[in-house]
Amino acid sequence: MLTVTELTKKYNKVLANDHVSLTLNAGEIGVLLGPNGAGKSTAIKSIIGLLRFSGAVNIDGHPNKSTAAKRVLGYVPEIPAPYELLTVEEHAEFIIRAYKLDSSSHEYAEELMKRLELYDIRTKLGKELSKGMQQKVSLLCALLPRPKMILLDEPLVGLDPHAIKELKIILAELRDQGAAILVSTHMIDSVEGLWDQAFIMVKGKIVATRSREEEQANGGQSLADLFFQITEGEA
Amino acid sequence: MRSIFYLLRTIIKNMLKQLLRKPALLVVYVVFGGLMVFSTLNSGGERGEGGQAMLSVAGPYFFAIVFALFLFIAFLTLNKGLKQGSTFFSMSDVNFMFTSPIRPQTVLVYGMIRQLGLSLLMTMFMCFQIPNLINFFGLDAMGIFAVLSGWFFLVMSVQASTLCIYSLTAPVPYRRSAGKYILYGLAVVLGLGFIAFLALQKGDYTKIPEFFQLPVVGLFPFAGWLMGYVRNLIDGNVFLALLHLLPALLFPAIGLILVRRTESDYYEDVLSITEISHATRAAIKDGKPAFAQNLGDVKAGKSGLVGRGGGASAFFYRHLTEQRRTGLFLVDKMSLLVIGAAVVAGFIFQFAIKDGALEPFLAEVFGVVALAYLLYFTSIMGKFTQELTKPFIYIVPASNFAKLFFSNLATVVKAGIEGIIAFTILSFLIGLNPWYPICATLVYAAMSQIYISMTILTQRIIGDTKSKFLNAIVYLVCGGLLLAPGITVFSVSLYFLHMLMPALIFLAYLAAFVYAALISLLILQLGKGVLHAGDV
Repeated sequence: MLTVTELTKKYNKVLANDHVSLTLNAGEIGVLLGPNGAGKSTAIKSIIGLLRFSGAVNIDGHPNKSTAAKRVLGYVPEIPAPYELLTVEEHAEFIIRAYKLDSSSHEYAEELMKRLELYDIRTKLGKELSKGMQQKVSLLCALLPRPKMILLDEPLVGLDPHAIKELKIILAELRDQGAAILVSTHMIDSVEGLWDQAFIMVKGKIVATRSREEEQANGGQSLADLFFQITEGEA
Repeated sequence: MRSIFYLLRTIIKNMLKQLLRKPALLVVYVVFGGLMVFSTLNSGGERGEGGQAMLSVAGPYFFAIVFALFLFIAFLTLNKGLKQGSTFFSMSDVNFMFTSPIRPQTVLVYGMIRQLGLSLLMTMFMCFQIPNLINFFGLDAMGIFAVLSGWFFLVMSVQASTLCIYSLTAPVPYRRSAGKYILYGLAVVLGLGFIAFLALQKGDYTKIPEFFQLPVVGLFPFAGWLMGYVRNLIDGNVFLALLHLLPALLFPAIGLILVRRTESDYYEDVLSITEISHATRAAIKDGKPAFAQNLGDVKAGKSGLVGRGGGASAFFYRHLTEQRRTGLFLVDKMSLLVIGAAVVAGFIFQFAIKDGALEPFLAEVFGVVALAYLLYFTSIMGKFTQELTKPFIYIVPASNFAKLFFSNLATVVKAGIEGIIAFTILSFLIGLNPWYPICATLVYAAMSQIYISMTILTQRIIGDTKSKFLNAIVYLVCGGLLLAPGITVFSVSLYFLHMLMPALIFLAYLAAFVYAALISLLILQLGKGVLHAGDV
């Protein structure tokens, strides 16, 4: 579903991503881990199509900047920024129009709003929402088009425990429905039971890729142990 | 496009709804709009035979001012844009629209529509200047329309051009360098042209306004084009006005077509500046001053901090280090603005003194007052105000008085350096007394502390309130309370010394300095509790 080949991104002389390659299949949750400044956000922004880069990124077989790729892509940004003068439900309406979704999407929007506890505040404007609520609006908009590939950049920051639990359930459901999900996060513990593939980045490179099967075959090492073992070795 | 029209329509609808929910604000807007219309309709400007505008005495300088203002805005926007890019977009657009299947070209059209709205808003702020345009320059309704529409086209055209130039040049380093060379080259050509003109006029400054009437100046990008538009509209030459407007519209239009044609991937180009704008807006919304700036080119270099200072004085050395990294020695871009203002004031005063319209001692006073006014804007963005938004000043174990004193010291030193440069230039241009640069600098540097004292006193009275209105009112009252005695002392001593002992007039400046220094120290002492009440 997601194929990143030799992704390299330079900001003037700074090499933010150095020949990054990864593959994520349909029905898998991948976690992108790394210390601060490892290049995770740059990789996510490149994959989502916000940055120029060398190399190739394909989503569902389409180049990442094509309309076809964007149609199947959902994105939850690190900094939530809803339209200040749009209500929660108007955000959903905008996404339905922007992605040209069918009329059944209104029901799905309502269902998502209820699950994310946004339904009662659906007539509130973006500027009236707390940061946690803003993050939930980002989630609503990302999930509404029923994307085949979802990118989440630090999605758990700012969410309350209930929303974190709900998000994990939703991600697991989407995986079971065949979506590929890539989560960039510092909060290793929170994705511990959720991941299928782990990509560990250090200094702009992917220094280790592990699958859950591999780790279970090796005695079931925790993601945190794996992370520290690799990053401390690289530091 | 349907989704974009939905977005725009809904935003406008919700904006109006919000306005209706705040009737007081609506009344303010209606009254403000009414006053603007009333003052415009009752403008003092007249039209002579042939429909030509009758500009007031200040008329000859009017087009010079329009050109200078337009040039300043255009140059700053393009220069900043070449380095950082420019944006028509908000962070919400980045998060929701850039990542959606809407074509980038369509998103660009949306950005243009959005920018059109913002330009209109900025033009509405220019409406505050309508009474000044009427009173100082005698403009009539057509003149005001010419200036406001010229301003609107300038903002729109320069912003759109900046985005296009950045997007077309950013991916290729040599194109970016070429863009910079062209921009600076044009500035140099204009400067040389101005000097050549002055040389041909044998240094007669009274001929300066004639420079801006030269047809070739009307060809200068943006500033010249739009000054030509304004001038011809005021003169009643609509055809010529439109002819001047044409390149200002065509230039960004061609740029946008090129961006579309070349399918330039502009998302990255607007991303960084959009994130900066978002952070700035978020800071303002939280009631904190917006200090977000692009520090991309700043290099660490030598620390300058290691082994220097201890306790509260560590703040001072940290400020010096930061200042050295972001500015030129201890001054910065704002200091250059102050020094530039001193140069402009020097020429104007020189002309006025020659003409007999101004006495030198008044030029001395006006010089201090004008630069102290500018200092207000630079000092409220200064190190001390920034320091209050960070936790360190509240938690470092040192006396509050010492912490306030040292966190202010860099501002005083900076004001001292820029003051001595600016007043020496002013003194040189007008031929003022040798004591003037020193005494004026003392008053100027002490004024920086008065402004800081106004902030401290305001915080002590109302604490950390997010009400900007209350904050502004209390700040103004504090300003009045602190400044009034000083102004009285200065004015009275100036008057009597001028009448009785003109040779000792510098004592008036020293009196003002002593007052400002004492009252600032007193406020520091009384206001040290501000560090107990901080809500960072």
